[in-house]
Amino acid sequence: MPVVTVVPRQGYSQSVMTLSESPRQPRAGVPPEERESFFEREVMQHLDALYRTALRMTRNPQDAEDLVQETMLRAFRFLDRFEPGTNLRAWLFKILTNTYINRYRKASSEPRVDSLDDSDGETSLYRYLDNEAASRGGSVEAQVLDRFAEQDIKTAIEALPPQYRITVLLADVEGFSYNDIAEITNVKKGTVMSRLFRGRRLLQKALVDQARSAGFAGGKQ
Amino acid sequence: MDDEAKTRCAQTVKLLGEFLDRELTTCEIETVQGHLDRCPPCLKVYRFEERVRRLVRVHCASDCAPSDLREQILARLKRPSLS
Repeated sequence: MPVVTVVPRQGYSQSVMTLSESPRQPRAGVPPEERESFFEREVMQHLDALYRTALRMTRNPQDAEDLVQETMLRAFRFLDRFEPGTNLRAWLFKILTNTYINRYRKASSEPRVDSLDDSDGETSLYRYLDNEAASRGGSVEAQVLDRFAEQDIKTAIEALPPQYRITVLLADVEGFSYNDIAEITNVKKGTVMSRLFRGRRLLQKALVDQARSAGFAGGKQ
Repeated sequence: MDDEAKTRCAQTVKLLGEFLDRELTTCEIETVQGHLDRCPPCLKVYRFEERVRRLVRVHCASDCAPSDLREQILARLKRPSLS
């Protein structure tokens, strides 16, 4: 039995917005007469997940509520285009992401992240932190990870550039596959992977900077 | 540590993201698991990455939608103008 156990995802998830080719379902979409009950029964289950993602996207409870309301109303209007049996959750997150981009990102330009140097090929800050922690006679866990409160994590996430933030949230909080995230955010799978890689590194960097300014490593205590 | 071992460690650490995301094939998973079983330094990196990810998941998943949001949405979509 290995020390660490990970199982592959089961098969490949269905494409989010393309129609099923199953001959048993010739008609696409939720029929009009079932729209309200389907919405209340199926769509509303995802309200909390959509809201918490909207909250990290907008960084503001009132904007998050507005964004979720608009997302849900659009989902309701577009239900005739949703094929029952396909991935409803991914479909809703795609609407959320599109709505967010249309609504909030038109005016603001995305911050550049060229300053991040990943040319060293190291994908984790652990070794670096481990050296620093060891020189102070402790562990990374005790000196860095254990001191993060909920607000520190949220602040670090919210400081990420939007495209990185959304990609990291979809993967780490919502557990979507790379294929689903590619579909939700309208990019290629390779772009999802590089955004995750850089986004997670930026996040770790932000957390380390927070820990450092709070007294860990380098600072005089 | 010889160069070959260093390369194996570097390759493993590079794959940890996809490993944790469950995006590797069964064969690749076995390779990473096999290495982690034998290499305590890489196992520590794995534990760190896993822990950071769990912190993000736990803290960011704790927000619930306000209780009146559900009612507001249902009320809005029942307005005749939307049907």
